[in-house]
Amino acid sequence: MATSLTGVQSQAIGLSKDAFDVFCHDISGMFGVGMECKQQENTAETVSSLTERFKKLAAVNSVKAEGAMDGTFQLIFDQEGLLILSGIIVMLPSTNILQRIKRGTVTDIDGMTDAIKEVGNMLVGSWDKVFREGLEKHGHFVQTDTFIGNPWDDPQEKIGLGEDGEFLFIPYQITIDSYPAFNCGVIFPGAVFDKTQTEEKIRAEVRAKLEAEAAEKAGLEAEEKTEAEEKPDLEAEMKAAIEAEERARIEAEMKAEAEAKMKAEAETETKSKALAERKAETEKKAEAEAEAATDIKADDAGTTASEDAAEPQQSETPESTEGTEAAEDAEPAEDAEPAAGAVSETIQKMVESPAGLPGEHFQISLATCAKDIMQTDVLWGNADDSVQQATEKMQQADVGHMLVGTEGLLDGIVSRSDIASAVSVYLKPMFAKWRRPTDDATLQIRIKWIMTRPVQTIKPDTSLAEILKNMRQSGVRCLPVVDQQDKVVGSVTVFDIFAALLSGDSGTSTAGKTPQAPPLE
Amino acid sequence: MAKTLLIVDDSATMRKIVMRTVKMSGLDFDKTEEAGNGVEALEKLVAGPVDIMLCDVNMPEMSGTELVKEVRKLPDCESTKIIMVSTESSQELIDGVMADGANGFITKPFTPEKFQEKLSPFMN
Repeated sequence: MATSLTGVQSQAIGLSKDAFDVFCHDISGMFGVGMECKQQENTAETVSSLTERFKKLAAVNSVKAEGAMDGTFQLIFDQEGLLILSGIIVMLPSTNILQRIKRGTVTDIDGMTDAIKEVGNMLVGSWDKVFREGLEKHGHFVQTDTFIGNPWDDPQEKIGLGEDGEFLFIPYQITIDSYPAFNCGVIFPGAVFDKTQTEEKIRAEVRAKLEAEAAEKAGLEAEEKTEAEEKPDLEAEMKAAIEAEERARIEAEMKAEAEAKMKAEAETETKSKALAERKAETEKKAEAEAEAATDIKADDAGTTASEDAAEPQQSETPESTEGTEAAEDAEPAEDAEPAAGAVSETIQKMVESPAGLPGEHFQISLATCAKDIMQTDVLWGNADDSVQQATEKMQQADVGHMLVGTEGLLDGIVSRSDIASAVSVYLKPMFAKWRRPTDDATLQIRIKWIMTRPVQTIKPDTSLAEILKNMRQSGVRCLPVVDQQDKVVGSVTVFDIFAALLSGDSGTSTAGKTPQAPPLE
Repeated sequence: MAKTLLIVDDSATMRKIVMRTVKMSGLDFDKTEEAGNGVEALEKLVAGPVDIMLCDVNMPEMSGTELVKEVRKLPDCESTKIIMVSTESSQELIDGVMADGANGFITKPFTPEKFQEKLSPFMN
């Protein structure tokens, strides 16, 4: 029998061992038992020889195969096996299981029908999993029926095996903890492999023909190859010589450039020192003058208060106005709980303070509103878009958020991090080896199931301080801007705020500029 | 924060196995309910939505795939995370049920580690 096995038959036999091993591994993991599976020698069997092997009651799971294997085959457990496995999965005490094995009555089995079916169901699951990964063109296995009892008086009716047929039987012996070892196995009727046997035959003929043609070409190709091998040697030598020359030239240029740069830097440093000293003197002078002016103003305040209220203080610099506004806006923010992942307090302070980072001076004004920094070109998606479609759209537009809704009205918003947490981690390239169909399927999740709603929005005249406060408290990095009719007119992201900060011009809109969101891994 | 769980499977044995495996995975559920078929599950969800639903695919009366579509029509269950549990794992089935609103898929047999992996993203 073994000598006449086809490719698919051999593969199926090999994979059946893996499938029983996976089943044992999974049952061990689920129920904390030790399981061991040993393959016995596979044989050709008939109904009468199987009757000898499984004299008592048995559980026979009929499995419908589609794909490389096509038809129905059977997975069988003997009486001890079905009592032990069902007892374990319903968590019966071991003494109870042993008593049932000893008695071996139909009543003992009747009460376990549901559990026995589940054992079969899980075994088919293991088989499907292993064959999906190991057998090319495998479709799927589905458990169609579980027969519990004695099938041998009418095997055709009870388990679909013809009495005069011959089957490939691969027996296994499983041991669980200290329970007695039991027999099980897989019955492959020849018809399951018929489809692939025919295909293999045709393929073998075509292969032979192609090999003959290939042999004819081989002589000609060998000659061409010898000629071709000589050329690359010369080409490689020339290439290496050119590259070495070029490298030497570039190195010389870089050296000269570096020397010039160092010289220039030294000069700049000397100049900067002189400037800084001069600046410090000027600032000191200005401070002294400002103190004197404040004293005079304080004296005048009592008499000119009503005039001040009626007129704007034109003598105040923009920076001093910002300072006042920042102080007003900062108070409630201190009371609020900053959310994790929100815009950092440091950034908010940078905006609120007239001072910048060391060596920098941010000129952004707190009078800046959403409309000054928002992007009007926002990305819209459909609630029925799949995660994959949304990812592609966001990557094409190079944005980190996508608004979901129709005709400018928002239903929700989805971010790259929403998507990253919805899809399987095994989609990351580093886990590619362990990637399974269930992981790929997470790309089909609809956006409507993962998007954030209701969406927090702001108005075009919402101040920058208010926007930052919102972002800090809610932990969001994108706030859609809506008009009086709740229609979206733009969006403000943390990147827009960065852009405004760095541009140093609060009045310049960054509309149309692309925020650089981190790539979705 | 503790969550609520609904296990839907026509096999009482499998419901117990799922419940036991969830416990073994160390996930903390405030309340766990069971339903023997899709109709019973819908009744329970209308009475009170749950955070996570573990749902078998092959069930009489209403299959798991039909149940997913029905659950997604319930306004109170928009945030319910649905994880399918099945021996059947054809790409067509998985893609279809994911498109209908399921959030994950676990194949039988499963382990506590598998539940941990698939459910923990929805526990926060």
